[in-house]
Amino acid sequence: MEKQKSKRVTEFIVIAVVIVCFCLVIFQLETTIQNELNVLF
Amino acid sequence: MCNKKSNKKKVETWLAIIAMLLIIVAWFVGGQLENADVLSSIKAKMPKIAKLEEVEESTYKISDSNEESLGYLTVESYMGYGGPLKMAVAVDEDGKIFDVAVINSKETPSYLKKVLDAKFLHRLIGKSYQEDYSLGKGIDGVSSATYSSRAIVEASKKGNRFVAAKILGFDVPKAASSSLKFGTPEIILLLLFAMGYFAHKSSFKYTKIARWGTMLIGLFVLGFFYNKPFTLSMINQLLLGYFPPLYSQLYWYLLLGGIFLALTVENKNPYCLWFCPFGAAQECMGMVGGAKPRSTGKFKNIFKWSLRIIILFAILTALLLRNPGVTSYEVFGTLFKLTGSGLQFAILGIVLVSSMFIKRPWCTYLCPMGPVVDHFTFIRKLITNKWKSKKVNA
Repeated sequence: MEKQKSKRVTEFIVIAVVIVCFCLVIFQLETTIQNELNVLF
Repeated sequence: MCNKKSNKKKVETWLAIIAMLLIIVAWFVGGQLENADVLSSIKAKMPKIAKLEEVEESTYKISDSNEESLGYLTVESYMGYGGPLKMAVAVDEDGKIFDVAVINSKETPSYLKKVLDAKFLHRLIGKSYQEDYSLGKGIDGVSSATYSSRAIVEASKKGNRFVAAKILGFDVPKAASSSLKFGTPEIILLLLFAMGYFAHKSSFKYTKIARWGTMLIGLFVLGFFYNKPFTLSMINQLLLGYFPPLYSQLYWYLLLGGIFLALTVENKNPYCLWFCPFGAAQECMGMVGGAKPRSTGKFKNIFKWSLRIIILFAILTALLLRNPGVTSYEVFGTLFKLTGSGLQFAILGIVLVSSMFIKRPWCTYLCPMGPVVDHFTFIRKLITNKWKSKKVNA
């Protein structure tokens, strides 16, 4: 039971880390594309 | 169960084909959109110039606001890190450069900014067509932005020599021919490929030691010393057909050629596991914290497909904008040369801290190399299966 709980907590932390990283990657892409579009148009 | 599996495979096949078609469409559409207005860009970046009269294709007679002649301007390009870098080169009546501007470039924005912030363009002012200058010979480059610096110098030199010879009618001395650059990074890369190839075989006894050896060499030599990891912009460059000059960027050909050759022939990717500098950095952090492979459980497929969609979007955008480096979100340069945006530093911090507990989090969840290799091996498998079945039928 305890092991199961700890596994779930770990899984939750990994998911949270990945989601945060995904969001940052998307923001980074959005920023660079926006900058490029500003230069082009 | 078997039916479900075959349906899933069918869907994946169609998605892989659709992704390929989208890439082809983006390539064509990007080509149509490319011809941007060069003249307005010249006027915006070179305020001294008020009037341009075309005397030859991409070459203009220029004058200031008082209608006084300034000389001639030509637009020349040279292959930079991400693709062709277009320069406007203004030359006076004596054949000396008096103004230069970057009109269009495919360089990674943070690197180009570094070059421009260092006032690198000023180093070209006053250079004459008679001088035999190049990067490192008469002009110092900007550290960690060598490709961009070289492209600026070479495009300007080409423009200067063109105006002097064709427009002003001067006798221009022959340019020194460039020799193939085969140096330490190229030798190290070949050695790493060879070590990866021989050491991954099951008959080899010291696989673990060899892997740590190649990883540490990759980390310090290809990472910290030369900052030459494999990036998404290289894939974009390849798709766009922006091949860099062989003599100055042999490394680019060896790295891409080595990876795709190993993938095609052996269906193995020696780079990621054996000498990717960023992978090695994560594994070193993992040694400190005792990292283990950590799964996202039932969300595994959602993250896998989300990354694939992000990478497809990044590739399509790069093709549409004709700029390989524009969607390069990797944090390699951020770690190895401390260059990048605030967001990239934030991503790097999270990745390095989490890699103490999660084995290679970047490689598992964020690296663009994963979906690219998946797509390549999937298409390879489709082709080999079709070829094999054709052979059996025959």
